[in-house]
Amino acid sequence: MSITVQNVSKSFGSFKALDRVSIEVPSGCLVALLGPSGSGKTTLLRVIAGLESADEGMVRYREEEVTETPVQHRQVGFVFQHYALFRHMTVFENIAFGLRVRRWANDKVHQRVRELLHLIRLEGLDQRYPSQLSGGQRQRVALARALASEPRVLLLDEPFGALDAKVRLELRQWLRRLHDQIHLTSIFVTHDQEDAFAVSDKVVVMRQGKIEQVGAPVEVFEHPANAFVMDFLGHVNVFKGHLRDGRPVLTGYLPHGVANNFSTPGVVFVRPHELEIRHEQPEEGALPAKVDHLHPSGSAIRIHLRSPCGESSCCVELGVDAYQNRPLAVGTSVWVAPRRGRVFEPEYSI
Amino acid sequence: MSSRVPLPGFALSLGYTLTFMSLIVFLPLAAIAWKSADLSWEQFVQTVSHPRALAAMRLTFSTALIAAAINIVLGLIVAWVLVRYEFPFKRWVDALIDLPFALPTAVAGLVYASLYMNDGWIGRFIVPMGIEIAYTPAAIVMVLVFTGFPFVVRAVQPVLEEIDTDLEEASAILGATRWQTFWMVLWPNLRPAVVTGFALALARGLGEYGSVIFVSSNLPGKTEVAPTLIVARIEENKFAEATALALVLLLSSFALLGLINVWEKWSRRHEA
Amino acid sequence: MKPDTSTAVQPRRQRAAQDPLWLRVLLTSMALAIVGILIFLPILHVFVHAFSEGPFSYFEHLFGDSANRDAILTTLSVAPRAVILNLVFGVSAAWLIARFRFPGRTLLLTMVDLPFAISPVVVGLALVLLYGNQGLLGPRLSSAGITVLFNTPALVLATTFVTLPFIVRELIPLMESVGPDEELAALSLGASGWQMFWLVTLPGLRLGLLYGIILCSARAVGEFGAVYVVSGRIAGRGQTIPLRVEQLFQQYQSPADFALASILTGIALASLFARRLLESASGPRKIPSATTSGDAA
Repeated sequence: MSITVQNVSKSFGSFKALDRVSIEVPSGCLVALLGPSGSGKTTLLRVIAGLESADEGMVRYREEEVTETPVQHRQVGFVFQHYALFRHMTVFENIAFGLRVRRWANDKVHQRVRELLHLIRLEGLDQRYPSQLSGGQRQRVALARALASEPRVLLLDEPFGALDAKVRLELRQWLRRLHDQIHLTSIFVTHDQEDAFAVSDKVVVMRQGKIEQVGAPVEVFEHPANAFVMDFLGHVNVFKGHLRDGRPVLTGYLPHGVANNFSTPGVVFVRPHELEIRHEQPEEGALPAKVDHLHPSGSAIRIHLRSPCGESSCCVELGVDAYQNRPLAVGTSVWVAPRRGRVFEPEYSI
Repeated sequence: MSSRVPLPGFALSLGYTLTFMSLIVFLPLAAIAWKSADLSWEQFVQTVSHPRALAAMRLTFSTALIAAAINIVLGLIVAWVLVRYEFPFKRWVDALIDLPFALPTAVAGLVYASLYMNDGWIGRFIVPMGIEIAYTPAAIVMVLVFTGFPFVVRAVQPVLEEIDTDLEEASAILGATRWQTFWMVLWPNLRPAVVTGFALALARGLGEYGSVIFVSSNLPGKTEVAPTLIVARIEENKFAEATALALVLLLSSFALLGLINVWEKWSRRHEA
Repeated sequence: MKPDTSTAVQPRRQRAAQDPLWLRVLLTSMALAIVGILIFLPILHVFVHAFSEGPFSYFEHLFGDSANRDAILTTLSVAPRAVILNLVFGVSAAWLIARFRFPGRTLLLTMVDLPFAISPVVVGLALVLLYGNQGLLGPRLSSAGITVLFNTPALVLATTFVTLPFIVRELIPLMESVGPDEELAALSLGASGWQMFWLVTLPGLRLGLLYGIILCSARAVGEFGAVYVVSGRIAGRGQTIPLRVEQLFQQYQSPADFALASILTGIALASLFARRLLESASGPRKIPSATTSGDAA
């Protein structure tokens, strides 16, 4: 079932959480709402769910307008950030809740709950109480509870937020597999780019109540629409420079602290893995630098370099093999040259 | 605004709450307002400045103040020991602190009266020493100390528990003695709670009736507190005068409550 | 939200080590003496005197004497009614105040605490001014055949007024700390308002309700000043246990007096220990915020 949001705005007092946001979520798609805190992603999710009401705009489920429909009647499955499991009910009763309030027959309830317990691999634990479960287990119960009454759409608020790294990874994979199985239109909110990329079909990048870009993970990463998106998704080096014939030319370092000002013109964005280290000065478009610090990062080595005057820094990422070819010592003077780079229209702030 | 929140029941709970409060609380208070509108200013002043009324007010305020002040000392000591030290049965002692909240005032009055009478458990020791407590204002103070006791303790306890030990250790490292640390580091943090506890104990003491009539001889002009005088006036059907006196008490407790609120807000201004 | 105040024992021992031993001993003995004399002694006193003539006499005083019996029965008919009224009110007001934001909310919260600030004698006076023969409503009601004063209704009204805040004040912090997420979850799962309330909200409040009811009951049973003013104060008519205690005191009937007092003391102690038990079941109680830690009687 597809979801359409049109021109939705929402303010809390004087704070504008959503500013004329529009988005289409195709049926069966798994979408991540990604952004820093205050970007409005949770508010958007809650407006879609019916837990908040929009000041302006419209929400549609397929063709049906649901903007005024109360949350009880929207048939959504919502998983809260802190799970909101009913403390005084067992796992079984938690999952069964949506069925009981809809007055399903007892044997149907049992059957459905058993199915779900099997799905979430918690078969022996149905008589436990939430306080007796681990974080990851509670997460799965919250999911099962939301799915029990066969909702039209699944909405998750920071589903991986409260979990430690290993559980997080497991749960991410599990959620992706689940989605592949049941093809339910799903939207989840996260501030973690890894989560968004690992799980979703499409990523919606938000900032300050507006949508900056929508696209598949690879697309938004490789072809960011603006400086904010590029900066938010992964590390990025920012230099003074421009493009000539489509190739980036670096002309200088930016003073420290200016780097994140997206409205500065004449600035080139270069990803760490697209910045190269040269030991002889190349033709032009490169900058001198001194090796400051090295550390391993997964399958790569990160090399932090400082500008000659010491005030700015940048970062190069090299595959381990490539690094072993020509290892570097701290303090070595080298040159950095970009293989690729992006230049964006400066954003004019009012 | 609130009707757009998905949670149901706003109108229902608002309606019921307001109706109930009106019936139970506002209506009776309105009756006092209605009666006091009847009073002319001269009548009011006359009632309140009657020697018997003045004596009662003086006694009420002085005993309540002294009792609350005593409770500052007692409350601090007990709160300190409960939070900082360990000893057997500490949890039981902690539970008992609330007894004056839970115990009916009549029982408090009964017990304190019989304790300090001539042949009471305490009386029999101190009367021969020449200390007469029963039926004197001192007895009133004693019983007000009882009823107000938990206020300071319960106000100070959470503050003491939350005080960062790092502060004390930092102070000690910088060379302060224990007493200096208490006075310069801890006390400023405790002061708001102590003042709150004091004010609450005071407010309670001003209105205390049930226990006081047991321990006091209730002699007009001598050992009669304001609430007792009010009851006397009611029994004489002199409602106007009773209302005038009640207004004085009401206004004092409201003023105290207001001051507590303001004080709390003001002393929280440094909190994150 | 204040953080959980349960500090582990270990850190406390280290802190205590900062105070010299002599000081610790001195202060601890002082504290124990204070609590002993101020609180423990009176409890002991009540029970010793109550049973001073032996257990048979104790029960004789309580149930043999008709006025005493009546006092017990009156209390048993007045206190529960006040508690039930305040229970329904408490849930309603807590729901309103904890879950919604609206103009006047802070004012309402202050109003709820009002009974703590008013001397019970003044409460009694207010009720007399309202329902008395020359009162605001009195004449109209009595021509309709309804007598309020000097009867059970007056006792119930007085007791309800005085104990109004107890249950609300227990529920509001509880509801605020738990937050509305469970209730919103219930709604998102398709529950109607009432289903949400009965299946999710109320069960979540169990401990707070229990504790509030215990506090409210103890207070209702012991109310004196307000009830004194509005009751007939004649033995057998509209006398609650505390009033009877006072009457017996005037009559110097000591053992009977303490027998009745022992019932009240027992209830008070039971409420204290019930609180302890509930606390260990649910974790340390958040101490209610300053303006309203107690009551006048």
